[in-house]
Amino acid sequence: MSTDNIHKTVDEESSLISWDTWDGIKHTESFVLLSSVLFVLTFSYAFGRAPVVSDIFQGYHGLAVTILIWSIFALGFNLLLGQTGLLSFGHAMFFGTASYAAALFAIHVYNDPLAVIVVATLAAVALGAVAALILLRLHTVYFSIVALAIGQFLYFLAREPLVEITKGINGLEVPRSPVLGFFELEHQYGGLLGELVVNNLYLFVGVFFVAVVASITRIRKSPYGLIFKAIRENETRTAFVGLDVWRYKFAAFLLSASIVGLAGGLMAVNTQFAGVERLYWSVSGDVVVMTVLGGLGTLAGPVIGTFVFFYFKGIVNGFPTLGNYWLLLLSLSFTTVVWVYRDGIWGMTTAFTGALREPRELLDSLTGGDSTGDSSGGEN
Amino acid sequence: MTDQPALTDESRRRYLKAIGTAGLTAGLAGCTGGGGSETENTDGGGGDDSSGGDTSGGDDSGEDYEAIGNFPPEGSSVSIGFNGPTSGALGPDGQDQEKGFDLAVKHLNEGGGLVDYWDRLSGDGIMGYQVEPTKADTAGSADTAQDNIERMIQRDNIQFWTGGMSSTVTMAMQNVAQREKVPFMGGNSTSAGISGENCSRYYFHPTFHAEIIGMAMGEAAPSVLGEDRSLFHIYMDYSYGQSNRDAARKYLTEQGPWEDAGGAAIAEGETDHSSQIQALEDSGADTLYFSSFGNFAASGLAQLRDAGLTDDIDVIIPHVSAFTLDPLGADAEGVLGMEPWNPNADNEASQTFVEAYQAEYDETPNQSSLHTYESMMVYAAAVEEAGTFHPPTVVRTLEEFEWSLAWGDSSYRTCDHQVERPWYMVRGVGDDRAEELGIRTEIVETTDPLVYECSEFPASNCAMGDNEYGDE
Repeated sequence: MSTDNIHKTVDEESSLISWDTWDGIKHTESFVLLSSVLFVLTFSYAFGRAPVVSDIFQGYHGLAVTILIWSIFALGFNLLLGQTGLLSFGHAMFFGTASYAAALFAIHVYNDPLAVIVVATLAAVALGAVAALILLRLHTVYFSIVALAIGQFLYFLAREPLVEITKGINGLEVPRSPVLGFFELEHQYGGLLGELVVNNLYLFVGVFFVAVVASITRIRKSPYGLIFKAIRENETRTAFVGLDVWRYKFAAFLLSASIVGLAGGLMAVNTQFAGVERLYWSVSGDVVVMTVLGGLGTLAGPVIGTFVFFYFKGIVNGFPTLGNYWLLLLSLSFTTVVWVYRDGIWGMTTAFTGALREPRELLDSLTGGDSTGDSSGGEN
Repeated sequence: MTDQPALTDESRRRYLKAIGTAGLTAGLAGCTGGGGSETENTDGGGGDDSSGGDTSGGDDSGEDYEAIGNFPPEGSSVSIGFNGPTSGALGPDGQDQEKGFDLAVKHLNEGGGLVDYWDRLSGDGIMGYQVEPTKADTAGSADTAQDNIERMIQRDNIQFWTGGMSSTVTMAMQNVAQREKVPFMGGNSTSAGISGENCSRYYFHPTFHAEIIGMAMGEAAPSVLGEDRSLFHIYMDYSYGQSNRDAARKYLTEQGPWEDAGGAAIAEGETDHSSQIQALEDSGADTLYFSSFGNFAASGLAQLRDAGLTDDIDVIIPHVSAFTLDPLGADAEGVLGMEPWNPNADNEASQTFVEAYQAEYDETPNQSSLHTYESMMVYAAAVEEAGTFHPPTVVRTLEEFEWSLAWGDSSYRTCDHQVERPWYMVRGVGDDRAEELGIRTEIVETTDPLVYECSEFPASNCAMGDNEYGDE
């Protein structure tokens, strides 16, 4: 008994200093930026090539690139759902449209990956502006369903009537060209850099990933982002404070569309292909699953959710026998995680680490106390 | 988890591949067996191959050629991929493809089936290399297929892959095969663009598509149904339906003996066909070309039956396969269609395959099962003939390849990589007969090996010359 007590006090005292400092650091923008850079630099290696770790993951470089791109997609989606509280079931419209815009621009106008991605992003913003005019008049389930309808409308439009432009179900092939005329995406590095990032394509996608993480952090920390949150919590009250709710929702919608558009453009550059399936409603569903699975409204959540989703889709899929049930296994783990931890995998992690730090609270929670305050604290 | 050592070996190899593919580091190139020029006989890969010293003869092959794509295979096994839709709407065909693939791997490694039948194959792997299968489910999505194939190429080091149903996916994969210089054969897809404008040096199309179906119909249908027929079209109003309608018009009415009685389109997603059925009745046609598939064909046919039209009118569905026939059930009786192969095909190799398949799975194979199976046989034989896995050499061998197995007398063309082989006009049968045959179709007519000229559509759209072998 007595040794237990002593141990606890010592632990608490020393931790007060270190954990406070840690809490101070971990929410700074430069820390988030640094960790996202480190993440990009080590992710492909850890996933695909590192000894031991990669043998557990059985990952590969190509999937690492796909995961980074879809993470951008999920982060953009989360900005709208997690931050502003608007659940769109039609975000495939931005992903697919941007992908087509990228491919068409590359084929018909000018094929530079950078220009292509700018065009893709702008196309998504333009679509977002039009869609917002219709969607932002609607609330809750009507908003979600009409977003879905617009997405499906575009899907059928691209599939049949615009077949001359989009090549219908056959899709468009995007030739690869160097960025700014000299930066070959295929270029493979040797040595340490080759070990970490393999090729320029990964670096190219990684830079956008870091930029998106940085700008989303900026938004979250800004007063502007705070208003998004206020709208999520209570739209009427926000209006009573004297804020133009529509304008902020419009801005959030466009920001989200542009980030998703960026992902769509990167997808076309990465796969050298743009097809109609990227407009399909199931893509919108996938991104909802990824975001909710990882942790809604957080920064790390969508990335973790994307990773888990693609782990099942890209790795478990290839397992002998078990592989044929990858979709079932994914949905089972999704249901389990969301059932037990409403805040997703990231919520689960923060709750766990929080509990480790506050053994007393862990005890409380076991005896009926409330420890969720700590977990939500970690997400802010 | 017995493959743990193999995995560690793989991660080393992956690293080497990532660094060394483009031959950037001369020092490493020797280790991957790729340092030498084509004429120079290097022994770089010797160290790796000694681990597989118990394998038979030819495994010193790879060292004559420069490394390209995933070549050369390492160790004593060669990895081959299956990337098909085992779930989703195309699942029934994808699962049969997977079974055919599994059986092919087993036979190539251990002998049996067509491997024993065909003297070009040994039953001891391919050139002494044991075949190591790797598989994935595309769920019919091009993006998923792309992730899968990247895994197989980057991690599993495949030398060849097969599988696939959807034209979209096959076309996306054709481009990957060309880029990565890994040969691919066997999307059981029926878009003419595959061996037309989208043709690829590293893809070989082992089945028919809308244009060939029309052509085979032109040859077989008038002799089955008579020359004095008037043909009405009900077609799905997008590329699948339109291209089948156009091909049938061209070969049956424009160049053939039949009368054209017009047509009616089914809009995307439309399930009620009463207006099309009305138009069919008004036209007075006695034959219907119903360009539809899967559940859509099943529901459409049920509606035709309810309208009492199937007794007077012969219905043709261009391409029949498992995912069309299963939902049709007994409604399939009397329906005519084309198949690239049927288990009752009149050749010895087909019967050998059917017996081996039944022994393994206790069910009758269909075109999808044979599709991947024979593709694997053909690839293996081409490698044996070329004496190497070197992709450009294997592709050159395949471009002139002629063989005669279950598909009948077959050959690939250099101009568009389209197969030329016999096709089967089949008729749907009732439940009792289906039980007897093990499949819902019976052959009514077998065509000669046929394909259009290289100068005709869609081959005329194929610019094969633009697709490089990669070692020029």
